[in-house]
Amino acid sequence: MNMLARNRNPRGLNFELSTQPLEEMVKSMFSCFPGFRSDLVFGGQIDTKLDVSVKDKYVEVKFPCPGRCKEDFEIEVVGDFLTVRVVDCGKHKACCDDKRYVIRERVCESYEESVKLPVPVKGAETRAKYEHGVLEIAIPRMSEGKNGTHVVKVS
Amino acid sequence: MEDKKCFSVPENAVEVRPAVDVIEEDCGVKIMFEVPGANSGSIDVSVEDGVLTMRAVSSLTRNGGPICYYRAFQLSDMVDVSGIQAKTQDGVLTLCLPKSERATVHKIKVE
Repeated sequence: MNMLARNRNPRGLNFELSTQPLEEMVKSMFSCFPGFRSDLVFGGQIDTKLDVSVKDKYVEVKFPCPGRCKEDFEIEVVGDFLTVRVVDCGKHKACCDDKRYVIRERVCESYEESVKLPVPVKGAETRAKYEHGVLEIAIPRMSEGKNGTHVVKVS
Repeated sequence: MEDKKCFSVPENAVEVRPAVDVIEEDCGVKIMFEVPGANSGSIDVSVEDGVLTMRAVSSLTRNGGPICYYRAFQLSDMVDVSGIQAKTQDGVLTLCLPKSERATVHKIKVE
């Protein structure tokens, strides 16, 4: 399990690099142009495939990955970190090799992404299903009292 | 394939260009569209004036609106439009476009 969430910077830097001063400068220079988005310059979070949303009782993660089978996925939850790996179980790659491609845009490479979940979760109770090319993961949220936080009533 | 039922795309849908594979086969061409989150009930494929159009509404969302996959291809008259078959599985829409009679290679034996 990779305990470090994958750096979402598309340039692949593996250390924390603060681009905030530069980002502010670019924003001030180009903010007069309609439609300017600084995340297009600095990467932001547009390259991630994991869509995380926090519900009342669980954290929902959706991962679009069409054309796979459920055996291709490895899911790990360690602490507040979720890691999803997509590995080819063999049959996908084998059926790609001997075809005459006119256009080939679909990717069948292995993929791995880790994300730090925004709230504490019960990793052991994680459920996942693969339907219509989307991997859906539901991780129950940990109740606040179990996270080392104690609510003390003032009497 | 050309279903005349009303296929509506939500107004707030976000249009996305899906990745495709186009594979040449002996009997025709196969087109595979990546449409995760869409199923047979939310996919519309039509051919009009020689243009094949694919629209699919996904259960996935982006910026608060559902994702709508859209892509169109100009077909040559070598495709037998009436014989096009479509199926969807695991978020991949596969269209099989058979060659028309004109495009079929007829081998003539010299006597």
